[in-house]
Amino acid sequence: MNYIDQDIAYGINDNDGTGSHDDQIDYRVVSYPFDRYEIKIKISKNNEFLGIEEVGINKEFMSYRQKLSVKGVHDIDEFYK
Amino acid sequence: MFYSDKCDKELRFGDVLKGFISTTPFIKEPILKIPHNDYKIDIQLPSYCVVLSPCCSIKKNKIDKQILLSPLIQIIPSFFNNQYFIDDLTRINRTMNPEQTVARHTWEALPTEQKQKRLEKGAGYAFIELFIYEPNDYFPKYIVNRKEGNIETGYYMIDFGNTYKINCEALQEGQEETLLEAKLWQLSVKSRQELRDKITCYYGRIPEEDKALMGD
Repeated sequence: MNYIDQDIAYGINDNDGTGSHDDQIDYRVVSYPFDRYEIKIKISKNNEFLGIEEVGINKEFMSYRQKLSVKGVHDIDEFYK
Repeated sequence: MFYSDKCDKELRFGDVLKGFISTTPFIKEPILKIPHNDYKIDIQLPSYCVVLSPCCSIKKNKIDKQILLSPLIQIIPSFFNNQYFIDDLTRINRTMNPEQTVARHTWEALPTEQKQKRLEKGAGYAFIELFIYEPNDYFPKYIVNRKEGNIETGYYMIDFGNTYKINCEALQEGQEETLLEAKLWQLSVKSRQELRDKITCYYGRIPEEDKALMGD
């Protein structure tokens, strides 16, 4: 599972509203897990790093597969025949 | 402590019961045409069986008068080839280091590459489908025949693959006294959690082909 692809949240551009004449800021926010933290990074349309939007606790720092695979299984039946 | 000091008045996951038959249907091939009568049902009365309905489902089972059980069966003689198991067979219920999963001489004889591969996996379950029950006053001891010498043991086990469903009128509300006569042992909270952990892992394994499709 690719966190970057999954958790993309496009920036809400407040300047799109009727009557706005400000320069448009076009960016997207990418959520990136780092250890127990989740860092939200602003990225431009050209994938340029624009800054850190937010740092929070990553409550889902393990993927579904990782959660299920925490306890491994050893295939040893052949040694007990 | 493997078993609980006292039994609850309710059935719990992992309880040891007596008096419940087991049934296994046999067919030669899928029944795609009707009428068809080429099947049989094998019925046995195992000395003991274990409750495999989750505790939280047992209340619902009272309404349906159904429960999931698995018969207690004798252990595999070759368990005694592994010193780590001989010391305490219930170690099979828990995760262990790769080198503990096989007899020492078997581990030492493994090619380095295979050893490394197993070591990389880290701690894990051996015999993922089995859960061992400690000897107790009810379980008759039996002889395990081995080339290296016979061993008397009182250990039994369940195989998650042997799970079956049974309907019983005594499972309904108000029939607790009848059921309690059939209930012999209750697992300690710790052992019950070990059973829960292992059966969860048994059903939770993801095949390699699915892993590839799921990505990560």
